[in-house]
This record gives sequence, C-alpha cells and structure tokens, in this order.
Amino acid sequence: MKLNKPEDLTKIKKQGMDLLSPGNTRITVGAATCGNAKGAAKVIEALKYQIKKQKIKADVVKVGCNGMCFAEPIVEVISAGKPRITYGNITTENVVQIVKAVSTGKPAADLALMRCDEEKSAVTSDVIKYTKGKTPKSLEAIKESRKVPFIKNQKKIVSRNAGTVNPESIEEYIALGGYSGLAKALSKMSSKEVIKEVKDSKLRGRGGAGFPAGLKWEACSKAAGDKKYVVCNGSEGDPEIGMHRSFLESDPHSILEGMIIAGYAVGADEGYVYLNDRYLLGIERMTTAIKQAEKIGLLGNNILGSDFSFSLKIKRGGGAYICGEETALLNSLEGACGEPRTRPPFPVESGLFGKPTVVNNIETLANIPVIAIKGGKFLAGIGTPSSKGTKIVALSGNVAQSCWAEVPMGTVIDDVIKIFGNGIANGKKAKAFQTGGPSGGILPAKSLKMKLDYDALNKAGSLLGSGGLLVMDEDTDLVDMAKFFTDFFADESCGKCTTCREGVKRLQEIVGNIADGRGTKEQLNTIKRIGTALSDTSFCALGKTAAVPILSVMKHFPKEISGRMLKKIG
Amino acid sequence: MVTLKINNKKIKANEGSTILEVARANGIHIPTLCSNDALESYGACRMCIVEVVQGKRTVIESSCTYLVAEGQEVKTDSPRVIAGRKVVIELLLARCPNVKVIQKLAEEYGVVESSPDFGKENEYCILCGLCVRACNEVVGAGAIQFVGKGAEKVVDSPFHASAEDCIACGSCAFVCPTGIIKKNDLEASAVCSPEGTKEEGPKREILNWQVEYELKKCFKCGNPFAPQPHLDKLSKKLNALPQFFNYCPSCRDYIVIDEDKCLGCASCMENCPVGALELEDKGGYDKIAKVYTQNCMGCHTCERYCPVGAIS
Repeated sequence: MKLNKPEDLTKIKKQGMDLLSPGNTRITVGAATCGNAKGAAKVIEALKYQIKKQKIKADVVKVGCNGMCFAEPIVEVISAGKPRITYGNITTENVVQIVKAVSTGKPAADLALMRCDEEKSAVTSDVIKYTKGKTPKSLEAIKESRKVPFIKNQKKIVSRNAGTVNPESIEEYIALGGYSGLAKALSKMSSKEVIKEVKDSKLRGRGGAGFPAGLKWEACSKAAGDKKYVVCNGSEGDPEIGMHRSFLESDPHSILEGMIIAGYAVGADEGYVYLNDRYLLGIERMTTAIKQAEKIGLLGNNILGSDFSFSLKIKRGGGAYICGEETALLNSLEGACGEPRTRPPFPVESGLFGKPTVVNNIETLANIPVIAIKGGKFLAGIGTPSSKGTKIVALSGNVAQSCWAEVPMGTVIDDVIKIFGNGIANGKKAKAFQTGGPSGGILPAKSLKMKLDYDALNKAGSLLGSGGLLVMDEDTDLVDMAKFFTDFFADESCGKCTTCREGVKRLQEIVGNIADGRGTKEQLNTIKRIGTALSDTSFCALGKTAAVPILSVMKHFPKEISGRMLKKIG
Repeated sequence: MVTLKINNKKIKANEGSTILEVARANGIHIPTLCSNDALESYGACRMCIVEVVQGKRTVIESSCTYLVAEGQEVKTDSPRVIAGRKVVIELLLARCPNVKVIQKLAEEYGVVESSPDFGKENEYCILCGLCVRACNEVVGAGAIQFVGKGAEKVVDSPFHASAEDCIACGSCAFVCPTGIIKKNDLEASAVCSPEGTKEEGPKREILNWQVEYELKKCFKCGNPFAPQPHLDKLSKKLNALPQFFNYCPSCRDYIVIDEDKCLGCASCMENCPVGALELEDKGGYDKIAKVYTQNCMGCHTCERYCPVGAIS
C-alpha cells in the first residue's frame, strides 16, 4: 500500500496501535547489542517455549534498548488493562516465573524493575493508559516508573521510542507519532519554514563540533546547484561509546524521518546513511527500515502526494575514527581514502561528488522530527543559553551501572554519574573523568560539578563531543589511561599530514616510555613541544587534539606522572 | 579584489586565490614540500603554515589551502610559525635523515638533529603525495595510491603487485622531491637462458611499482624514446592519430608552409595520410594551405606533392 496523502498515515497508525497494545499479552525483549550480548536470544527462545507449554496467548517482540544496559536482558510485559511491567536481568531460569506471572495475573515483584501505569508521548498529545481503574494492591510493591530516578530525571525526546517499539516495524513507529513530522513539513510548511524552525530550535550538531544545524541547512539550501545530498553520519568511532549504535538499533525510523525532512528542507533528492561496518545489527535494522519506508511510499517519488522525491542508500564504512569527520566521511563515501579534505570549500557548497551536501549526526537527525512536530521553540526551551535541547549521554568506566540516558543540556555531570550510573562501582571514589571521547581531556573529579554544555566544557579544556562520559575511580592509573588514548590516536591517525602522522607516532613512543617507568624530565618538555605543534599545525581536529589526553594528565595530575619517572639509584 | 597584509606589506590579491599563491607572486618566500603548481593544493606537509589574524581570531593555517580575505593580516615567519615548522622538520628528520630536501630545510631553520627522544628511522619517502596526485590528476592513470593509514601509510601499487594501470610515463619520478622513485631506462641487451640467447629491446622499468615496458623506437632516428602504453594514453588524450607517435619528439619536425609561394592547389591536403592539412580562406579567391600540428606526424609526404616547393 502506498500512502498518497498525509491523512493516509492514520490507517497505518491503527495497525501499529493494534500491535502495541494488542488484545492478548505483548512481551518485549530488549534485543539491541547490549541485550544480545547478555543472552536476549536465549531468553526469547525460553519465553516462546514457556508460552507454548503454559498455553497462554502472548506475542514475543524484539525491541531495542531503553538505556538500562546494565539490566539487560530486559523483558517488558503488557497485558490489556494492566500496567506495563519491566523486568530486568532476566535469565532463562527466570522466564518460567514471568510467564507464570502473565498467566496468573500476579506479577513477579522480586524480578520487576518498575511498572508503568500511563505514558505521555513526547511528541504528540497522546496518552497511552495501560492501567484501567485503580492500581491493584499486588502491584504496589513495584515502583511506578515516574518515581524511578532513572526514568524521572531523563527527558526522553529523541530516545522516546527506544526500547518500546519494535525497530523492525514501521507501523509501531507511526503509531507513536512517527512520520507525522514529515507529513506536517510536506503538507503545511515550505522548505524555508522548516529551516527557520530548525534555526529557532538552536539545535547544535551532536557529533562533536556543535555547529548550529539550522545554519548548515540554510547554507546548503542557498548553495548553487540542482543536485544536493543529505548524509547521515553514523560512523561512531570512539572506543568507549555506543549510544548512537544503541539508538540506531532501537529506533532507525526516527533517523530516517529526520533525513527525509532534511532532504526536503535543503532541496536534496538523494541521501546516504553512512554506518560503521561494525554495527551489523544497526545496518540490518536500518536496511529493513528503508525497505519498509520505500514500500509504503515514504521514500521514493512524490512522497505523500507532494512534489518532493527522496531516495536513500546505506553505505558501510570501515569504522575509522577519522571518518566521523565530515570531509573524511565524504571521501570514504566516494570510495577514496578516509582523509579529511581542504576547507573551504565546505561540504554545504561542495561535498559529496562535488555537490552541496549536508552531513548530520544520527542524534542531530533524530531531533528533526520533534522540531517539525512541536516547533523549534519547544527544543529551545530546554537546556542552557548556549546549548539547547537534550543530549544522550553514555556512561562507562568505573560506574556501578553502564548505561545511556537522555538528559537536558545543563545537567551537572556529577548528577549523571550518581543518578544513572548509581555512583562509582564498589563504593570507591571518582578520581577523574573524560567527556566527549578520546579528544576530551582527562579532568579531575573536582570538575564534576560542571554542566553538560558545549561552551562550558570547551572552556575547561574538554568537549561535549558525541556525549561519552568515561569515569575513572581512585584505583585507575591515569598514565596508563593517557597511554591508551595516545595509542588510540596513533592507530587512528589517517597519516595525511606530517605533524599528526609523525608527531603522534613519536608521542606514542615517549608516553610508552613514561608508562614503562623510563621517562625523563626532558621527555615531558618534548611532549609539550609536540603538543603545541600538533594543535597548531595539524590538518584536522584529530591531530589537533591528539595530545590532549597526555597533556591534561600532566596538567591535572602531575604527581601521577612524577611517580612514574625514572629514578636514579644510589 | 581583496586587500590584505602579508608581513606588514599591503597587497592586493584576487579573491579565491590562496595565501601561498599571493605570497609567491609578491616575492615572499614560504617553504613547501607537497605543493606543485600543476596540482591541487593538498595541505599535507604542513611546512607552509602561516599565522593569520582575521578580526579577533588568530589561527595557524596552511597557506596552500587557506584563501585570502579582506583585511587579513598574515605573518609568514612569526615565532609560533617558526616553532611549528621546526617541529615538523624535526619529525621529518627523524623519519628521513638522509633525504637531501629535508637536510637542506633543517639547515635553513637551524635544526641540527631531531630530538633524542624520537625514535630514528631511515625512510626515503616523505609521503608528500606529489607522485600520487600527479598520477591521478595530471596523467589520469590512477596507477598508484596511498596504502594503509597512520604510521603504516605508504605509497604503493594496488595489492603491492605490478601496477596494472601504470603507463611508465615517469611523472611520479619527475615530481618526487626525494628521488626514491626509481625510473630506469635500460639499453637493449642480450639475455642468455637455457632456451637460447634472446635479444631484449630497450626497456623502461619503474622498480617501485614493479612495471617494465619496452621503449618504442623512433621510425626516423631509431632511438628509443617512450613506452608504448604511455604513447597510447597520450594519443587518446590528445585525440591524435597513433602514427603521430611514430617519431621521437626531436625527429618530429613539423612542416612549414611558405605562404608567399603557396598556390592553394590542395594537392598537399589530398595526399596527407592523416588529414593534417586544410585550406584556409585568405579573402577573395586566395586560399592557402594550413597545417594542424596536432595531427601532423612529420612524414613529409606533402613536401613531395607540392608543385612549387612551398613546403619544407
């Protein structure tokens, strides 16, 4: 069935609603990479077996990740008229209990993480009521999700569907307000109006540099030329971060919708989704999403009966860190070496195949449908003066719970660690932390009071980057950490410019020496000299920030360094 | 036109030109390793960095890629720039201590040796990319590319095998500033093998890309002058007849027509084997022969047919 006008979406919306709240029970299992790694496939198998054995009617559905990676595999049970119960850390042994709970109607309180009585949609005015009437007493032992800190302190706008919808079902996405932003943009807004809304939202690029998305779009739409491209940057190469991967696996359609709206706004008729080749599941789900959208005419010619046509292709990249830089990404897309290009000309003037191109990050694009539906002012009302909207933050390192969460900009980093990470693992103290991936500095724990904000973090010598937050406890050896990141840069340098290729290689040697206990004072001076040269003369941001990890450790933790220096004997 | 200052000297420059171009046109020296007028700027060597003050911003940029703008103040030799260049030279010296260009640059900047903290290598390629870009941009062969990334990056033929698309033109060896690309023209020799002695013609080999082609001999003087694939590529590019390349450049003496003697009888045109001659109107009934050197292969057939000896 092809959709020929925006109103046709309602037909699919009904189908999706039937899937989301069916007459019989819907059991969802978190099957993003985090869930799969913790045995989601076995849980699904066990669930299906038990459902057959206990002769109940229930559908088992694979969904994405809701951010609680630490509690995977997560199983959610939705029965008609009853609250949605979330169970965490499910093993094949627990499955019997859960299925029994479904058949008897008494939830297994000891396994449950939370229950959800009703849910408000982040984008539409819809309210999904799970519980009919009063909450039964048997459920009061389970916490309501709005009172659980992990949910309460989040502002789920971009990740509103993650962990709830089946990422392989376009009907479910549409049922929760999906593609209504596209329908609104195509039927009621001109491309200039869409750009104005994005500009009003003050949305800044979520990939790292934080360039205002609206300005980028405007520049591209004004650039001369009939052929233009939209490219989704899904080349997440940071070593400790995976929230964009998780998001891609949980809600590919919102990225797709963002891309189509971007295409409409800048006047592009073709787009590429550039994905890290290691994201096998993400690529699979995005492929499915594109096929589904093509089937019902949300991609292709005359989308929803308008004059606008748009087609999308997936391109797999090797996963190099440098290919997250937009010009290197474009080179890689064209089949050349992943090396950054000279700027100017900027991609918005001459990008993919020399045509004006908008390159946006996964998370930036996922913000677009929300802006289209609720207007730019909605997003501009959240966050700090310089950083608007929300940010998906991935917590890793020595936290008690590894997870990702979507928080408003301006949230204090310490709160993120305490609320979502449940503090430091094993009751230890935090010593240092790093935001924004390898290019961010390693900052001391006293800076934890800082807010998530592009400009505040830049001033402190770090960056918001793509939103990774790596926490190191008191037992972490920071020299080793600096060595790890210097090695990372040496691996990931593309080798185009002399300073980065040769400089990082030498830096790696010297930092390795210091980590081995053979460092000297002169070597520290050499590091500073290389560091200055790197930040001054490197071609792109990778080289410019390659010395940041070791320099920040030298600045904030001089004792750690001096403790590792070569000591004279006798 | 924009007005900018380079080293406090007011300079007017065309919009869209790079700082390097403008500086060089005005006699200001900026050292480079990866720049060549025939190639697009690449910005890899980082020797040409300059300090640019634009409004409140001060940035260090490579002058070969950064465009001039109104009100810019450029310093080509500020302390920050010199310090940056010195580190670049030091790094290159640690990699390629025996390359003459680098040694010369080191001398110019007073760098005696690279820091003792640096590991020492003995490479000869500085990875400026001139050969790769000449092969792709100018020759259009695309026979060689960068392989690997980071510290493992090298210039090589595909899969480190004999470069299939190489036409052995030698442009790579010509632009290489270090002389590490070995292009050898070998004389004809007799090769002995168990099957007997075989005469092998004059050859050109480029050892780096593992290619070897016989050199074509000139029809007139008999000297070898270029490998056949190179000539094929050129004749395709110039849209010239293949016979054009039967003669070496020095034997390719094109014909000259004496306009005073020419009758405009067209007998040269009718007898030209490659159609390199045409008649041109000179007003009234006057017509004279004109030669298109692009197609002329220098066979001098026309000379024999000219009734008045106007062709020489």
